[in-house]
Amino acid sequence: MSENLLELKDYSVSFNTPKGEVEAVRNVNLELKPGEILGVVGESGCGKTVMCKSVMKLMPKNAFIKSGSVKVQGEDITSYKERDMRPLRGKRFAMVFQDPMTSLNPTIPIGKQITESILKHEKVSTDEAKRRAIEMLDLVGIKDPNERFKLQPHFFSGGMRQRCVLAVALASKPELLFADEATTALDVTVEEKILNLLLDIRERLGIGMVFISHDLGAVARVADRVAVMYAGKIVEIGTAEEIYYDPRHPYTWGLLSSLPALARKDGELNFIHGMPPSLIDPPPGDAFAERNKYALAIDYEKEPPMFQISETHSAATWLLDERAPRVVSPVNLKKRSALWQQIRS
Amino acid sequence: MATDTIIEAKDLCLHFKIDEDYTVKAIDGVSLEIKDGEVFGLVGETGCGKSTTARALCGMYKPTGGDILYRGESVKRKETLNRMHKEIQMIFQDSGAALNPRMTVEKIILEPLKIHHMPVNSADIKHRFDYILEKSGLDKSHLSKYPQELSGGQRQRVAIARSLIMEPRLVVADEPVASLDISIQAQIINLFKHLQNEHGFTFLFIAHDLSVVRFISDRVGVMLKGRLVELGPTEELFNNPVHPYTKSLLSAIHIPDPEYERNKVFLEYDTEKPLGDIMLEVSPGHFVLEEI
Ligand SMILES: Nc1ncnc2c1ncn2[C@@H]1O[C@H](COP(=O)(O)OP(=O)(O)OP(=O)(O)O)[C@@H](O)[C@H]1O
Ligand SMILES: Nc1ncnc2c1ncn2[C@@H]1O[C@H](COP(=O)(O)OP(=O)(O)OP(=O)(O)O)[C@@H](O)[C@H]1O
Ligand SMILES: [Mg+2]
Ligand SMILES: [Mg+2]
Repeated sequence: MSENLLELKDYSVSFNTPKGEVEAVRNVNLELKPGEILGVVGESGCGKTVMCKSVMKLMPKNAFIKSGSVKVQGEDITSYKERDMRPLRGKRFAMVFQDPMTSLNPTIPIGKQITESILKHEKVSTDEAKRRAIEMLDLVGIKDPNERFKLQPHFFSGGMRQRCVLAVALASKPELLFADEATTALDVTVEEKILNLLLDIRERLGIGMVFISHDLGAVARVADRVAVMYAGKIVEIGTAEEIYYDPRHPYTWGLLSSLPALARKDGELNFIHGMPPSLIDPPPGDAFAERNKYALAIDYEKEPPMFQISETHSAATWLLDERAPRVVSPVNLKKRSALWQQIRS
Repeated sequence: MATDTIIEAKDLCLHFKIDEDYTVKAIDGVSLEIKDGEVFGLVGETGCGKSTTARALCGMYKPTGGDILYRGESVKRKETLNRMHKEIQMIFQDSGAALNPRMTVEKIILEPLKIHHMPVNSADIKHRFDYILEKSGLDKSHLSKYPQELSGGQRQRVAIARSLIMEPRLVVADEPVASLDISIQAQIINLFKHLQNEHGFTFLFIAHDLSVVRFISDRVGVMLKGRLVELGPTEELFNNPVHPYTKSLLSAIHIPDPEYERNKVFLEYDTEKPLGDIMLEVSPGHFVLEEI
């Protein structure tokens, strides 16, 4: 059994705000193996970004870890301070954000930014760092890296900038990469290239990734496993096949059935009624109950535990309790997707 | 579907002169017609000129070449331009971010009516207001709030409600749902479709998400480097793409099916390749830029 790259146990993160405590991440349990790609999906505000940023401790002052622990490669970093974290960032883990312009300095040539990132984390000569930076640009598919090395970010297209951000993130050879909506702003052909690049980098460098996206198509492209988050909790987790072909949580059903890719042209798109609950004093029981047409009485009172469906698949819904009425998943993705492919070929 | 053309671009060009020896050809000879009552989808890679085309059609830029006809008349005529301004509404990806922070949601949505001196208390308008509010996924509890008290998705929905309250003849929607959750996207797309089917609204719909475009559009145009490379009825174009760029674009679509995604073949297209000059009609209403 290989060691976990990342391990969250009963992990909760909150913010102190004038209106009260915002419980952004609640009792999350999660493991990631080296070289594995975990997709994280869920509605805006469900805690995806906070979960990742808090692992890297890139959090504002009003945030605090409320419970649980976080281990990176077996090392418990839960109570690490900024000083302990600095050598780990970049080296152990790196993060790529949605908007490349916010992660790149617009006035400094790309090559220099990558070189600096390498020099910050490793004791190598400037020449060596430069050589490696050019290698990185080449790795992320930038043509003529020797020439482009000297250019500032605004000379690059959106897709190329995102590649540069990746180059900066990968330059110090992290073991774990958090990609937070890293391809959301790109058009599909560029997105496809970047996703292929991520897969290729995983293949070559064996790094593990947490891939956050609200695009369930993109997640299907890259993820080995998928975690579905709702109101700060992981409500379902499993292999990509389990989540897409055999989803068990009504919230996952809701997400999958809203997708236009699988909708009938003459029909209306399905959607999940209502809004996610406030994370200040979240409701008791199952936070999704309000919006769940399959909700049982117990959902309003008692929080469902994680029910194990297979060794890799579990979901937190009372529907999986043996006493619950049997409900068949309304999403039959396999069937619809076969239809889709037929139309397409 | 109606066949009257509401707006037409004729060999439209928009060149931005950056300095003496550098000009960006954002639109470089685009001809298209949008018919009354249809949803026309416009797709293409980043920077190919979709937003510029949308803005030019709304009269926000003066074309550097070609012409725009609104209901058959050139917008070079001032009366035509004024009429067009009254009948067109635009929605941008970040419309929600541009709402007036000192107005309540209710005031924001009703403001266009006030600007055009329309009675906001008539039964008809009240009915319309309630309807749009509901279909935009908003409710009465939002009305007294200010934009900064809402989430990004809620703000965008307020912006959309505001642009629909005037019942425009043509809605130009540039990535209107890109920043929204899938479920909210679905509500807005349903709203657009309903407005088209029941109320005869016309849409120019720009989006990166080709599944959404396929779902909502009657016809689709594919742009590349300021040019239109392919145009046709939606299903015809998605099922029988002809231009290699269109093929590349369609092969890149991500669908929520891991097995399919792992086995799919992405057809790469070299965008440096020069484009042809002549649009050929390969089947009724399906036009493709010839290759050279
Ligand atoms: N600095 C902060 N102070 C208070 N609350 C915060 C702060 N940052 C985030 N939150 C809250 O924490 C919750 C989780 O936010 P997070 O950014 O992780 O969501 P997300 O899932 O990444 O959403 P999105 O898809 O929109 O990026 C939200 O309810 C948000 O309002
Ligand atoms: N006001 C302007 N001045 C100079 N150049 C401009 C201006 N507006 C747009 N451009 C340029 O024109 C080209 C087309 O831009 P446009 O915004 O229309 O692309 P787009 O297809 O909408 O891209 P995206 O999918 O990224 O929104 C780009 O190269 C852009 O940099
Ligand atoms: Mg986020
Ligand atoms: Mg645009």
